Amino acid sequence: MKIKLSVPIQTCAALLLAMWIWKTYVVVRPAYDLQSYENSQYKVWYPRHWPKVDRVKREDNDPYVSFKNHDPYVIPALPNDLPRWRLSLKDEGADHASENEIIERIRNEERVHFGEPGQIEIWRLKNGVAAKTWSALMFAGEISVPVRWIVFTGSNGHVYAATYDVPDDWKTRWRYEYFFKNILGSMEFKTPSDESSRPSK
Amino acid sequence: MDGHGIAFVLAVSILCLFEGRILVRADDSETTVRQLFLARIDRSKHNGFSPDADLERLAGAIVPSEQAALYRRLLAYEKSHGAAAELRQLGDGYLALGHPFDAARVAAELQRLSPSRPGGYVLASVALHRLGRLDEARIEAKRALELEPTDLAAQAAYRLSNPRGDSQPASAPSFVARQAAAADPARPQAAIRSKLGLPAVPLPGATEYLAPGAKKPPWWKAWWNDKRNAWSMRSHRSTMEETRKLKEVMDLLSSTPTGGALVAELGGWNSILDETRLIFARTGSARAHAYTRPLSWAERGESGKAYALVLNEMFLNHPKEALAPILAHELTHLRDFKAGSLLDRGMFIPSEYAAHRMQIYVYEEVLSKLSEERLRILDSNSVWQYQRFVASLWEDRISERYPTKVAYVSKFATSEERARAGDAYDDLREQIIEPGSPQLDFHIRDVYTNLTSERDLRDLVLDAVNSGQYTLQQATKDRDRLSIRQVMLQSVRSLDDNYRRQNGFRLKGTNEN
Repeated sequence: MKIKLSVPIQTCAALLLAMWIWKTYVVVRPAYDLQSYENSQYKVWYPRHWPKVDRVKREDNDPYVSFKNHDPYVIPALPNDLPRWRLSLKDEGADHASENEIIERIRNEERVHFGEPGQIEIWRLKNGVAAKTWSALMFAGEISVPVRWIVFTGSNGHVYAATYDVPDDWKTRWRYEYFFKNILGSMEFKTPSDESSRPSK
Repeated sequence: MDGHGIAFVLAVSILCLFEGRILVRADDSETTVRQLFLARIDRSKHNGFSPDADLERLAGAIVPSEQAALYRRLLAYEKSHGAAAELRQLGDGYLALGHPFDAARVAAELQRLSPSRPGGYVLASVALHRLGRLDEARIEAKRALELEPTDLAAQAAYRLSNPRGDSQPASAPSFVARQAAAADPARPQAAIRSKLGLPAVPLPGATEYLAPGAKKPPWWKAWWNDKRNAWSMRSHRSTMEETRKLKEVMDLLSSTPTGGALVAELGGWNSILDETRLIFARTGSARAHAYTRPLSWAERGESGKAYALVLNEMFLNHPKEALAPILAHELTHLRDFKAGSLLDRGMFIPSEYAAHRMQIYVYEEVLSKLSEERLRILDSNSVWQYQRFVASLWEDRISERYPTKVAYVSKFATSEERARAGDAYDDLREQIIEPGSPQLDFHIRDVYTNLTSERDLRDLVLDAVNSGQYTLQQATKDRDRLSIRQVMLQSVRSLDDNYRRQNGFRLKGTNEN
């Protein structure tokens, strides 16, 4: 059976489809202004409308930096931003272990505590870094929370391990993958000569 | 009908509509809250009330069904009456009908309109007292007295909120007030709250109402999951090993004061097992490790059991000390199902708050009896590890016990937990989440909103607000539902305070021990 739609109906359907595609595109590929965070090892850019990373002085030996989309109890305009999504980035240093050793350590923890982690894939970040990434489930009481790990070595020789909770809804997942990939891809690593010429934060 | 006829009918309809609006306006402008109350009382009984009889007495003479109608009428009245004198009466009306949350909202508006008059503070004090928030009620009454020391209502509110006669200093700003000071009115949430008729900064306990959440799964997915879970549960036959393990966990749970009281509240193990299918089985999902739910008539089968409490069979390999808190968690959901409060959407998060607290109390009580050696074995167990994390949020004093973030973070075994613990520590250091129970609740909400139907409630409100279609009917429906949530949350928090008091757990910055 062949269904023939009249021209006005076809036009309406095409318009609706175009509107849906545009609406989805705006959500999954957001345009935003930037702000930066800098420490002795790298400079990184993240959305300006997110809370500042260094609102209080960080401990000198704190290897963790978290980029969060908003403060608690805030209700943003877009429903996809409603949970408090965060990217946690840890500087594993240059002396302790190689990238592969860090990956093996994290995946072993997951095997022992939570179950078999997913396959390792490669993400090419905008700054040219090839990051290794996989997803896993983290135990949280009566449920598990899906998380993604991204591990890479910067041009300063430091290994970095980043993780974030993976949203269930596909549009939100794509949106935050875009945000987080861009943050990691914006990292400018400092060489020892940069460190000596600039005051550390 | 010709064109003239149609035009005539249209003209008459428009005139009728206008007339209706004019009549409604006239009715509103001439009506006081007292008259609205009197209108719901049988005319023959009007003489029984003196002209200055308070609204509480009038409310007592109104039958419950009429009280509900009157509450809806007050909500409509609120939309069109904004003067301070009217608001004060309106707030008293809400209180008389048993809606302190609405009264608190009106009080906030009254304080905004007349910041130098005591009325708004008195109303807020009484409303907060009814909501069980005694400390905040005392602060509001104190402010009213500072504005007008001779105001009898302010004196009465202060006596009500300060039964022991403690001299309360003009307190430091509360957490909510600090948030208010930091709030930028241009931020979208303030605008949304203002459109909803809520104060720009949430009242205590109101923050959960617009909690973030996740999309409800499509109906076919929910249906398929239900069927798969049901099949897995029904087809399961318990082994000797499972029965033995379950017995060990049940015995351990009963031996703790909190677990014993919970089991007794549910009528004892015999009663629980009579009506609940309590088993180790597949949960039908890699992400669900335990669940409790009522069984449909078809699922009950010959056993006639009304509920299922299923622990994932992978738990069989975990120690009983790690499982007793999980069982307490699930039994709390069973209690909420039996009380009927979990059948309505929007109640899942309050039930999770209660279940997590029960889980933590049992964890603390089990922990207090453990030997060093046993503790070392448990420390490498993931189920125990997560309980240690949530308990550490609840116990608080994190920054006292762990002066640096690295010290706190390093007590957790996995990289993922360490990252999460680091975030929790930052929130405390930046003072953007209140320590102890509020921080625990925030963590629970963030984890569970991705899996529950809480989003229904928030979406319902936000979508309607964004499209400018937030109708009175929706507002009334939401507020009724929110009132039930408020009661649940209030009860969870008051039990939590009692547990802290009785067991010597104190929050940072308090003198209680």
